[in-house]
Amino acid sequence: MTAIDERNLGEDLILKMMKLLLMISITMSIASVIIEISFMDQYIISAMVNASLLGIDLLEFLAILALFMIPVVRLSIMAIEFCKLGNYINGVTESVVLIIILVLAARIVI
Amino acid sequence: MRVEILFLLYILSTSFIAGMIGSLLGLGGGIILVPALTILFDMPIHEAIGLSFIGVLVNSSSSSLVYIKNGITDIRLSSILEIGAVIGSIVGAYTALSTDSNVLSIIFGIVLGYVAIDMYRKTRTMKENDIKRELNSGEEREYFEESTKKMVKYSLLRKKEGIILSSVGGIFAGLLGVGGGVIFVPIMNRIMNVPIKVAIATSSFMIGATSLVGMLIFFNNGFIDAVIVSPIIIGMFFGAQLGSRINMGLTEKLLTNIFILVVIYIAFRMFTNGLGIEVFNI
Repeated sequence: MTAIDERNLGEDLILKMMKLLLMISITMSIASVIIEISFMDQYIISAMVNASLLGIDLLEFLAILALFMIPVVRLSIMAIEFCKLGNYINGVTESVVLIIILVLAARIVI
Repeated sequence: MRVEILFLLYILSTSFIAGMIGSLLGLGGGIILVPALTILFDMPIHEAIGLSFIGVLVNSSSSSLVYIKNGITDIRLSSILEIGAVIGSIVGAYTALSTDSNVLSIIFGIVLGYVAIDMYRKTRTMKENDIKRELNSGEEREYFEESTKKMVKYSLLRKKEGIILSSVGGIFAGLLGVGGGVIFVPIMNRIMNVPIKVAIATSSFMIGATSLVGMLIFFNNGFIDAVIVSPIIIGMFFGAQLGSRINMGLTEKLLTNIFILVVIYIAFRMFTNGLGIEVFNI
């Protein structure tokens, strides 16, 4: 199988998901910087701007969460696609990496 | 916590440059961002490494969009190398947390110095062989070379060695917050016979997982300052977009030469920094 043939390994879906999550992350980051440099957070008494999760401002938290989701989503898609093609070794590899990431993330939350 | 506007802008522009160079060379940007944050902003190296993981993750995702779209990324190869790299990254990240900053800087300098020498030796000894590559001796693959508008064939060799060495690359990735591209690209290019463009694209794709692992470990240990995460995300994203577009039109030889020059400079700065010697301070 060549690099070109592998375009059917769910690449279109991976591309779409990566694009979407990156856009969410970038949008949240830009909004966060704008609020920070324009001193808007001093005037906007908003639950959304002032809220925080895990000790991080909400917008920054959402930006980081979207980033976190990029490898998680693409690993899930690749694991499924590899298994569909009967390439179980690659499928299992992707699943193991995914489980490691989810365990590390769970340690932060719990 | 309020941060000065100028400080945010400096971080933004530094991340932009790091993202551009990182994406251009398939390094993830960490080898530029960590020294920049420690040398230019006097940031403790552990915090710089934590932030670098986020930057590398953005850079990896951003440049991968371009590389996948152009059919350069070898997804199956990345899948093979990823498991070793991720396990190595966990080991490296925990080692970094218990290692002194100066020692980390010196290790950073030594690793980069070795990589630069290795790549230089390769350009001197391989030359034509590097361009023609070994064919019919392994798993055959091909990719579309944009600069020559031709399909380039190559054989994937020494998979086992590649998997073992990628875990070593993962250790350095976790230890230094560099994503691992600085190790993965030479492994794929020199040992597995993968053309440098495919190696760069595949490395960019797989370092998303290694940097995420490092990010989670450093976040859990309180080494990620969330206040300056946003400018790093923005700078790295736009820098990576520009870098991966420039990459498409450059030749393999020119890319390798840029890679060597950048790595030599950073190796020198990090080594002297670790020893406490101040050189060319900006």
